[in-house]
Amino acid sequence: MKTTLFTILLIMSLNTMANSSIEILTPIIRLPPPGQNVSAIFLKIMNKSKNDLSIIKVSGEFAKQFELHTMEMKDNMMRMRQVDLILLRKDTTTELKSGGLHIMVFDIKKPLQKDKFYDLKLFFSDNSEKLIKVKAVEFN
Amino acid sequence: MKFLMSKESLKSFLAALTLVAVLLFSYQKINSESSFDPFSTELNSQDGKVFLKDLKKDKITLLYFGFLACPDVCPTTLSTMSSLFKNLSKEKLDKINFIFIGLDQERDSLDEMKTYVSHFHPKIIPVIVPIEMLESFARYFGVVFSKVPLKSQMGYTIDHSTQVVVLSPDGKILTPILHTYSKPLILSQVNQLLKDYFSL
Ligand SMILES: [Cu+2]
Repeated sequence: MKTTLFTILLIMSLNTMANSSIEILTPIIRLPPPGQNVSAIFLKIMNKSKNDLSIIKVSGEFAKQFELHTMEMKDNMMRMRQVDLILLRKDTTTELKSGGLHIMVFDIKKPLQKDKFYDLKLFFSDNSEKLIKVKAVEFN
Repeated sequence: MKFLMSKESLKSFLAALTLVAVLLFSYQKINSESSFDPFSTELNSQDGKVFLKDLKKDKITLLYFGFLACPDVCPTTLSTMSSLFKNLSKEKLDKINFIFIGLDQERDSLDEMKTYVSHFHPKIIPVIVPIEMLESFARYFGVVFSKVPLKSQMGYTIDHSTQVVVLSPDGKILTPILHTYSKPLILSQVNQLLKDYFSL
């Protein structure tokens, strides 16, 4: 009985283990202009595993809410929408960048400071997660 | 029974009637649109009421339509244009207007817009177009926008055109600056305009 419980716990802990087949490059958050506490996070994600994966959730202490957004430009028109997940194809680098996919951040609790790093946790569709640090940067 | 129209002729009669109605309607629409004059529309600015016909005088005028909760495109454009302004001589800069037209009047006040744009460049003038005229005003310059409800924390977002509209001193709509243009490209476009219109 005890071994079973131990095994279950072990499997559970393995499942929520940090994802090592995922590599994050240049994660940044833009300093919002004065009066605004909304911003966007951009980064590159390499999915080095043999399976497609998705980001399904993002959390962090420095803001109240994080959402996954897409942005589409068509005929010079900008359309931003919330999505449930961001697909990361196997053996592919997915880019969250200005004018495209981004993590949108709402209700930033304290003003972000330039060049400081903020903890962010990414949750994936295989139950794994990854803790990263995003750097606060100015526009451009 | 002869005085009744046959089914066929009734059909063509109705079709003709519809055509007349459509023509009349579109004529009126075109008429009302061409009679709309954005240059004499009263705009609200920090300095009170202003008119585009006065602002545009003797300057190249850039118009950008946006909203403050816009996380990416609006601040990117303001930032790009501001860094460009920092590269221009005072003489050249004096010949340029940059007007930021608010598309989210529910959330963005003039004061908030001013605080926002000041962060980028003191040159940027925020204005609010009377809400009932905003759509015609924007459309005149080839700008479209629509408020879209989101299940997001945002409640709603505003889809909008992202180009910077360029006006000559006499109010002619010139080639716009597109969101995809690089800084060097925009700089050469602006320099060319200053050369063409003011020999600068
Ligand atoms: Cu967004």
